[in-house]
Amino acid sequence: MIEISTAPPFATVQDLGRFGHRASGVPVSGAMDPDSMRLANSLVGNPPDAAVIEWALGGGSLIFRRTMQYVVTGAVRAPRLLTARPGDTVALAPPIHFFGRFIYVAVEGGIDVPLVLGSRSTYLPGAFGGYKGRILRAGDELPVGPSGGAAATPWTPPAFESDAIRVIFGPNRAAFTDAHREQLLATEYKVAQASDRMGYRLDGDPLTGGEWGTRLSEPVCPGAIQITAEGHPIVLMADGPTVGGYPVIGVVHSADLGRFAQRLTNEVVRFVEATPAP
Amino acid sequence: MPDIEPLGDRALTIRLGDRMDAGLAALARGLAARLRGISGVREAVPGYATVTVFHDADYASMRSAVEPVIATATAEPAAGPEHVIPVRYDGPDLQDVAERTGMTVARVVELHHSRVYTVYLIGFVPGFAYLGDIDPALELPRRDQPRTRVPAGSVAIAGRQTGIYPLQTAGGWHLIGHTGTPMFDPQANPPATLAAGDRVRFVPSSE
Repeated sequence: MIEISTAPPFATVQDLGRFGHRASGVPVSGAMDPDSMRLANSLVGNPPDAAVIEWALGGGSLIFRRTMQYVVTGAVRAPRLLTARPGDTVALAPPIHFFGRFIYVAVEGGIDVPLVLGSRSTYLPGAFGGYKGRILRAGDELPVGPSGGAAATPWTPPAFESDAIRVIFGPNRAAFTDAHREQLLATEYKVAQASDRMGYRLDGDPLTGGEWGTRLSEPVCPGAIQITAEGHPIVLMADGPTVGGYPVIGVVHSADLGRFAQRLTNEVVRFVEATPAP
Repeated sequence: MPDIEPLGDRALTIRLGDRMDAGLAALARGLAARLRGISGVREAVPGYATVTVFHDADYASMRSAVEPVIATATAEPAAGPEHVIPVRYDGPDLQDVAERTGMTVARVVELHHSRVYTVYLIGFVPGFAYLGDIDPALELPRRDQPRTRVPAGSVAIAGRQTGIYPLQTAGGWHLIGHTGTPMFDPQANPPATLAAGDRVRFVPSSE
């Protein structure tokens, strides 16, 4: 078991997400930066979908109640694989706001909160999953599963040649012209303050010369770039709705979504066109 | 052949049309049911006139796999169970709806509960069912200023649709009533009370 001694402003339990219930309107949720989460699990010998703590917006501390290995990945200088003894207090005052938005704390055995609809991920708007369906607070005691005893095989996150975020155009091609798509690729956006696990708003020159009122709602997914009536992009994220009524100009490639999620408020975002090939 | 476009690298959208229409929705449900049996398909979700396929294959091979299924898909009539949902018609927008449609409150209430609705799709928030079509006399655009907090259980209308808010959320529809019938339970499977193709009948209630 581990205990939250001092909670950061925003920490939740997450795994790779909740699948199979989109027809009931249930978002996938899960880690905002799945690459960092997979790396964390691989370093402590967990399966890739073991639950971790997603930690954001500031420092805090944990108390370990038994001996276990743990690791911190994500918005840190370098992952640190460490062993905690019972009673150890570990301060996590990451250089968040410097390397990115989220850090991931994986412990050997994984965070063993109950499965809800097949996942341990927290979905805050619905107040279910994770630890009692809410953000973590000081005094919360998180159960830890038995160690699988698997040898740690570090997972290698995909390598990127540039800082640009790949976007696959569609599925509402007819709502936009080539000029709009070119404008999206040519605009230097900045992540807006109003960004959270449901979606990131991007500041920048609005797309012009189109009529983007709401249309018939259709299924969307994390990474979908909706264009508002005023021409501004909103990128849906892990807790975003399963259907949307704004036209979607394109979708962020799944391999780039974690990298995008780590962008801080006012950090620059540039898009580059990609095909849906793997 | 309907239009097929990628929704990123892990999904594709099949567009059967672009309007709210019972026949298109029935075709979307029938196609989604057929696509769920294809290798590589993780989820097939019907929209009003679309089916979105979430997959773990590559786009080109998934597209080739779904095309022959589209060609032979048949409509799945709205033959789901009929849910009877009691509504207390006392929503904060009821008077406003009556004034804007030029009807009495009693007439608005009567028109709303005198039809059997079909569930077009579920989404927006878990368990939120888009139901239609409402009587054309009740059609109103969404509110200019969406509410930041709509209480769970609110029964609302907008455009040709009506729906029930399963949990407290922001919302821009006109609130005409309230129901105590739960619309979503994360401990149940499926967690949503309603599913696409189900039918819904509202009955006025004092509770």
